[in-house]
Amino acid sequence: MKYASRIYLCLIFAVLYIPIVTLMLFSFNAENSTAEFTGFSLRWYIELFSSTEAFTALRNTLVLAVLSALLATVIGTLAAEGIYKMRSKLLKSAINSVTNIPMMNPDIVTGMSMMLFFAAIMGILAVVIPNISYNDIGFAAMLISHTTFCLPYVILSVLPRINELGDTMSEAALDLGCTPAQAFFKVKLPNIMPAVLSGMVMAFTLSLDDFVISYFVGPSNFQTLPLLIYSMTKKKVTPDMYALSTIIIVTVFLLLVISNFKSEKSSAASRKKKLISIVTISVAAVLAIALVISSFFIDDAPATDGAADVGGDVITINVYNWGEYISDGFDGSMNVNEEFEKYYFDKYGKRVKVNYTTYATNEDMYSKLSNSAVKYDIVVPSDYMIQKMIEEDMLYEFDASSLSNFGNIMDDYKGLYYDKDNMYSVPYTCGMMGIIYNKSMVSEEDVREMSWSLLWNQKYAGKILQFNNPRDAFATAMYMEGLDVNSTDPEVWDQALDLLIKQKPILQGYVNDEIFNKMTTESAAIAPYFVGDFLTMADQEPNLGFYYPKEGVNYFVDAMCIPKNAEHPEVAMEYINFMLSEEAAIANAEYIGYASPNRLVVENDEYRAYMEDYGYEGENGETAYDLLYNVMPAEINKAYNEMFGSNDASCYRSFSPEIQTRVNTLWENLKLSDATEPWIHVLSIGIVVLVAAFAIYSIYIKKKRSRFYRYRDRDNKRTAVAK
Amino acid sequence: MAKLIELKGISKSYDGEKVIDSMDLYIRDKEFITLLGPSGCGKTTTLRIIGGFETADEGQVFFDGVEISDVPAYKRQVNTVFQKYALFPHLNVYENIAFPLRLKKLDEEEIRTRVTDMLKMVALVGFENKSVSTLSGGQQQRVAIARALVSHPRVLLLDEPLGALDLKLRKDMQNELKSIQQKIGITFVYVTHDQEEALSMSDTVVVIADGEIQQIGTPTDIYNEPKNAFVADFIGESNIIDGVMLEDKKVKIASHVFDCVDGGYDKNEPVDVVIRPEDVDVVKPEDGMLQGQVTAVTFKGVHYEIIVDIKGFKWMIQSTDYVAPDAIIGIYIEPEGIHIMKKSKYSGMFGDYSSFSDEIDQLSDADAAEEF
Repeated sequence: MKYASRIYLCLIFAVLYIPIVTLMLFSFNAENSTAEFTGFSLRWYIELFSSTEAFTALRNTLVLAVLSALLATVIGTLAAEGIYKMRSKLLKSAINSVTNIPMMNPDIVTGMSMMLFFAAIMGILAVVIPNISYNDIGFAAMLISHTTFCLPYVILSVLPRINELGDTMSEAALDLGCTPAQAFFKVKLPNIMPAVLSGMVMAFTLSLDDFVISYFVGPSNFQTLPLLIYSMTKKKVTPDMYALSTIIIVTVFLLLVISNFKSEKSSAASRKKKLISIVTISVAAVLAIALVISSFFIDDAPATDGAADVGGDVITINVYNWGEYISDGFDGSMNVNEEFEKYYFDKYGKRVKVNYTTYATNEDMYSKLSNSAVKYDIVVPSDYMIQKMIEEDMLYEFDASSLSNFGNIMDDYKGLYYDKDNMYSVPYTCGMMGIIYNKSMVSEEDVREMSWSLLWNQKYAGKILQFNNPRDAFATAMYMEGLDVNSTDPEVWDQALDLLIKQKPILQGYVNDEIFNKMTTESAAIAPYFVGDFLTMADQEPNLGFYYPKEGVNYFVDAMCIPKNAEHPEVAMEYINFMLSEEAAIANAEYIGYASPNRLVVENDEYRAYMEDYGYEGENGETAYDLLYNVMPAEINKAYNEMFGSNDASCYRSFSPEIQTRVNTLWENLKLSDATEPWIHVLSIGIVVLVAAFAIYSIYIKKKRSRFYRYRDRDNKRTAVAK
Repeated sequence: MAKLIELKGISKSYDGEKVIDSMDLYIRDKEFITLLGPSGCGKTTTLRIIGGFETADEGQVFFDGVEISDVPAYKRQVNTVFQKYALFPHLNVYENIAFPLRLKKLDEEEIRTRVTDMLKMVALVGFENKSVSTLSGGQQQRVAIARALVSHPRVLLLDEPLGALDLKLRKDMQNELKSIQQKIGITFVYVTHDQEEALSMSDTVVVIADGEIQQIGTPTDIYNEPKNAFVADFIGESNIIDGVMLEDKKVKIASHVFDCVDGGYDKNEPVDVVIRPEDVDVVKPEDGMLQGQVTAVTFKGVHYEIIVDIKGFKWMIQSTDYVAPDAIIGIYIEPEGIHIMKKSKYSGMFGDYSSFSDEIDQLSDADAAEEF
C-alpha cells in the first residue's frame, strides 16, 4: 500500500512535469531539432536576448498582465464588497450569476463580442476624431478586455472571504470611531488581503496566458507572447521560445518557493532554510528584473539607431504576414524590416516603424481584416484569397508596374489569373505541393510511380498523413483522379469525397504543422506538403524524399497587397518595392525556403550556391535549387493545361459561396462520418447513462430523506403543541 | 441619577416581522443595566439601535438629552464589546487596543500610557506583542474590553460577551466586569439571556419578551415580585398556578384557601399565583395544606428536585430531604412564599412541570436563535 501510494505520487508528478522538463531540455539543444538532443548549448538563449520581436512581445505581455491584474483587482474587490452589502437576496444572486457569465463563457465568445464592441466604438470615435486608427485605442482595448475577463475571477476569489468575515469586524471598526471608508481600508481590506492577492495572481496568470481574446481584440502594434508563439506554428516554433519559456517557468517556480517560505516565516526557520530562501529570492529577483529591464531596453534599440536625432512624427506601417515568412535577423540573417526602416529614412529623411504581426491561415487573415477595426498596410494572401478580396473590394488599387523594382518579377508571374493587370498585388513567394516520404520506410518501386496514389496505398496504413484543411485535402484526391480542383460541379466534389472516405481508415491523421514533427521523427512515412517546408524538414532529417506527383500539383503564389483601408498606402508601396530589391528578396528567399518569383534571386549565383548546398539531394542528384526552380517539370504543367485548356488550372481559384458551403459540408461529413470509432460512441453513451443514473439516484435519496424530515417536523409540532 | 440614554417609542421590523414593538426605556448614568430575555426577544436589536448599527423604523434615541437617532455609529460616544470579540486579527494585542486612539491621532506617548493602563486593568501586561489569534477566549474577551474602554466612552455596550466562555471562566469574568464598571464609573448596558448573570451583576434588569419590555427593576424586585407569568418563569424556577382572589390576603388554589400578603384585587378575581420551589416545604400528608403524589426525583447537589402531582398539576419542589418516588406527601407554604400576579397574555403558558425537560427548553432556544 505504501509503495502503491508512492508510485501513484510519482506518476502524477511525471505526468505534470515531464513535458515541462522536455521543453527545458530542448532549450539547451545545440541544434534546431525536436527529435534529438545534439549537445548542450546556450545558443537559443543568446538568440532570444538578441530578438527584438520576442522581447517586445514579452514586455507587452507583462505590462498588460500587470496593469489588467491591478485594475481587475481594484474593481473586483470593490464590486465584491458592493455585492456583499446588497440587501435584497434576489438581486444579490442575480448580480452574482451575471458576473459569473463571462467566466463560464467560452473565451472565443468573449473575444468575438469584444472585437465587435471595439469595432463599434471605433465607428463612433471616427466621427469625433477623423484620423483615429485602431492602433491608437488598441492598447486601451486590450487592457479593457483583459480586465473584463479577469474581473469575475477576482470577485470569485474575494467574495467568499468577505462573506466569511461578516459584519462584526467592520462594525467593531465603526464602533471604535472609523468612518465607513476607514473601516474598509484599515480593517476589512487587511483581513481579506490574502483573497485579494490570490485573485490578483489569478488575474495576472490569466492575462499572461490569454490567447483567444487577445487574438480578436489585439491591435497590430501590440503583440503579446502567446500571439507571437502561435503565429510561429505556421512553420515551427523556434527554440528561442523554449528558452523564453524556460526562463518564465524558472521565475514562476522561484516565486512560488519564495511565497511558501514567506508563509512559514513565523515558525522558527533554520539558518539553512533562511539561506536557501535568500538565494532563491535573489535569483528570482535578478531573473525577473533582467527580463523586464531587457525587454524594455531592447525595444528601444531600433529607435536609437538611424534617426534618433530627427524629431517629428514616426510613421508606423502595419505589416500582417504569415508566421516565419520574413528574414528577421535570426541566426545572422538580414533583418529586412529594420533594413527597410533605415532605407526609408535615408531616402526620405522620415522615420518609419514597421509593425510586424503574423497569421497562420488565409482565412484567419481574412476574418481579422474584415471583422475588426485593425488597419493594416500590407497583407500577403495567397492567390485564391486575393481573387476573393478583389471581388469583395477589400484591396487598394495601385499600379504595380509603377514600382521601380517590379521589373525584377519574372514574366511568368505577371498578369496571373487573380490579378490580370497587376493592379492589386506583387508576388512574394511561390511554391508547389508534393509528396514527402521517408526513404527507409517507403519502397522504391512505390515512389517511382510518382503518383498521388501513394497516399492511398494500403501497405502504409497508419503511416500516412493528410492535410487538415478541406481545400488541400480534396485537391490531393482530385489531382489523382484528374478532376478540376476548381470545379463548380457538386458531383465532382462528391467523387473526391468518396476517395477521401476510402482513404480515411489508413490515415494516421489529419494534420497541419504537426507534420514537421511527425515526419522528422519518423512517426509517419508519407505526407503531402509544400516544397519549401519539405526543404526545412530535409535539413533536419536527410532520410526524407520528395516528388511532384505526375498527375499534377497545386501551384500557389503568395503576393503582397495593400488593404483598402490602409493608412499609409504610399509607404506600403515603398515597402513592397523594397522587398523586391535584390538584397531583401535574397535574404527572404534563403530564410523562408520557398521559391522566389524574383529574377534577381533566381539568377543570383550566391543564392544558387546556397540552395544547392542546402542539405538535400534528390534521387537523381537534384538539389534544393532544382527542386524549387527546375524539377517542377514543365511537362506536368503542360499536360495539365492541355487537359483543362486553361493556363492556370493548377492554381486554386476562389469559390462561389455555394461551392464553398458545399465543400465545407462535405469536409465536415468526412471528418464526422463513420470516422468516429465505435468506442467513442460506447464511451459517450456510457457517460450519459452514468450521469443519468447518478442524477436519478440522488433524487431518490433526497425524496426518501425528505419523507423522514416531514415526519420529524410533524412530531416536533406535536411536542410543541403539547408543551 | 440623570437619564443618559432614552429610547422613545422604538419599533423595528425585519422582513415584516416585528422585533421591537414601541419600546420606551431610559438608562441612567453610571448604572449597570441588563437587557434580559430569551433568544430572539429583541434585546440585541435594542443594543444595536443604541450603538448605531441599526436604525429604528419608528421612535427616537436620545443621548444626554440630544437626539442621536440619525448619528452614525462612529460618531457616538458609545463603544461595544461584541459577542465574538471582533478583534482585528491583522493587529497584535497592543495595536488592537491602540486602534481607536490612533484614529484620533493621539501622540505616541499618550497612546502608550493609555494602552498600558488598560492592559493593567484587564491583567494582560506582557501580552502586547502577541497575535490575538493565539490568545484564549478569556484573554481575547479582555482585549476586546480594553479596546472598547481605552477611548473613555460614556457608555459600554456588551452583547452577550461571556456567551462563548466556559462556566468557571464566565463566573470570574462576571466579577471582573462588575468591578471594572465600578472602578471606571461609566454606564454598562449588558445583554444576556442568562438570568443568573443578569441578577448577579446588574443594578437594573430589563426583562424583554416578544419585543416588549415585561418588567424593569432591581434584581431583587424582579425575582421576588415578578409582574407576570413570563417574568416569573424566566427568572428562576416557578410554579405558576391558577388561583382565585377571594378577598385581600386570601387566595384559593386547588380548592384550598391560602393566606398570602398581597391585596388590591377584585373579589373572586382569577389570578396567577407564583410559588417558588424553594418556598414549598414537604410535610406529612396529613399535615399538608395540599396532598400529592411524587412522580420524579432528581438529585441536584444542594437539594433534590421533586415533581409532585397535585390534582393534575405538576409542582416543582426543592427540598434537602429525600422523598421516594410514588410516595404521597403533603406540602406547606408560608404566606410570604405566595406571590399573586394579574392575569396576562402569558397566563397558562408557563409554570407547569408536567412536560418538564431541560432538553426541550434548549431545543426551542436553539431553534429560536437560528430563526433570528
